[in-house]
Amino acid sequence: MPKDSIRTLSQEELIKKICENRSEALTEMYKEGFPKVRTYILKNNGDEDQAKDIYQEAFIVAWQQVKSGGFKPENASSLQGFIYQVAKNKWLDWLRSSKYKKVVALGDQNFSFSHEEETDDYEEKLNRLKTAFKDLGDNCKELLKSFYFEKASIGELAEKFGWTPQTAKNNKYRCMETLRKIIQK
Amino acid sequence: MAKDLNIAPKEYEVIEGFLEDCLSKKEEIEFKNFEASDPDWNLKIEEVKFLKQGLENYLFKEEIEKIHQENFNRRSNKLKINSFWPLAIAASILFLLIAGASFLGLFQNKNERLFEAYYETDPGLITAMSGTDSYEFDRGMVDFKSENYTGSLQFWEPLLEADSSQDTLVYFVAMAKLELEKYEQSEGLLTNLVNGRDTEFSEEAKWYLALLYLKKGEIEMAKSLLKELQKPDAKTLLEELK
Repeated sequence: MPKDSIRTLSQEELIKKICENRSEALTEMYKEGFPKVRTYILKNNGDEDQAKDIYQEAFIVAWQQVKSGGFKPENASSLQGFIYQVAKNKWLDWLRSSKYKKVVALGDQNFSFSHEEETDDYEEKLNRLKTAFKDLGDNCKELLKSFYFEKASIGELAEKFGWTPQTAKNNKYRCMETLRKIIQK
Repeated sequence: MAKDLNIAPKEYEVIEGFLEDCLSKKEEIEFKNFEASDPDWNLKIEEVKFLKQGLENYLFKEEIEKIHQENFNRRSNKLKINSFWPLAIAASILFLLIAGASFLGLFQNKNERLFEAYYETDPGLITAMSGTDSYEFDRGMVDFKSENYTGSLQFWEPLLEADSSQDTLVYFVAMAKLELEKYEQSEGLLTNLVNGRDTEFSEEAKWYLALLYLKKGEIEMAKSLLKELQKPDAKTLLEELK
């Protein structure tokens, strides 16, 4: 995807690519939106790391909204505007609450992507999943990433790894079971 | 995940189809049957849903972190540059020390040690050299038993290219590749055997595949295969891995 090409996409096309986790679209979206959020946060008592954390949280909220079908574009830059607005609100919330709350890093620990309704138990499970995934072998990691993130079909997995479709299906199952067993420990 | 659920491959498939809203008519019936007969069905759906969404969320987070590092981390890289060389020199010295120790046999990965302790070359098959159409295979087996694995592959690989459905052939090509330390190729063939129909080589294929996983440090994958085996060595190895 050439530089700035998301500007040539309609919001519907962009949303479709975001739903499919297309790396080029995500990268361009991210690159386009971050400088503006960073400028805002730096001007409002924040630093570079905080800008990054807030922006990533807002980006994830937008991604989840898009995937759940909850985001309806109203103009040609709706999604980018939505991310900026979420980031800005998050930063203002943080500024308002900072006198009362101890600062919690928004990076690794806050894997919940700021869903306030999510329970500690759920977050703990997500953290276990994250740790378990890191413990998997390289093949399993690649296979699961291809299937669950890059949305490869079983046929595409088979082609990528040089397996039969049945073997790809069996290996995907085996990797998921291994992941599940590690989480259960 | 309090309850230890046993989710079969077919159940995974149907649940994932349900979550993606893409069940075929046949799968819809299967889904309803599972729903009616399995008291844990809803728990299983929740578990698969959690794994699927959790994985995607985690991988998404990793992806945007990577994007950030690649595009906006120049400033922090610049700050690190002044302190880079002393660290690099120290790291190089450490690397040389470790490499030296490894070379002298003073340091060996535990998984490697276990692999070597448990790995034994497959003894091969008795060959009749009968002059029938299995001649090529038998001739390769003679080389295999003489430890001339490259020679055996010269006979067997053309046979495998022509027909990859012969389990005996697939197994011994995998064994020859294993001996030649072509681990990835061997792993691919063994994986096909393990996931295929049950044959007289299934057990041995699982054993060698488990050893390969062990060698690569994929302990959980190795353990899951070892648990399926009855041979005493598998049980002992499993104990050592606990």
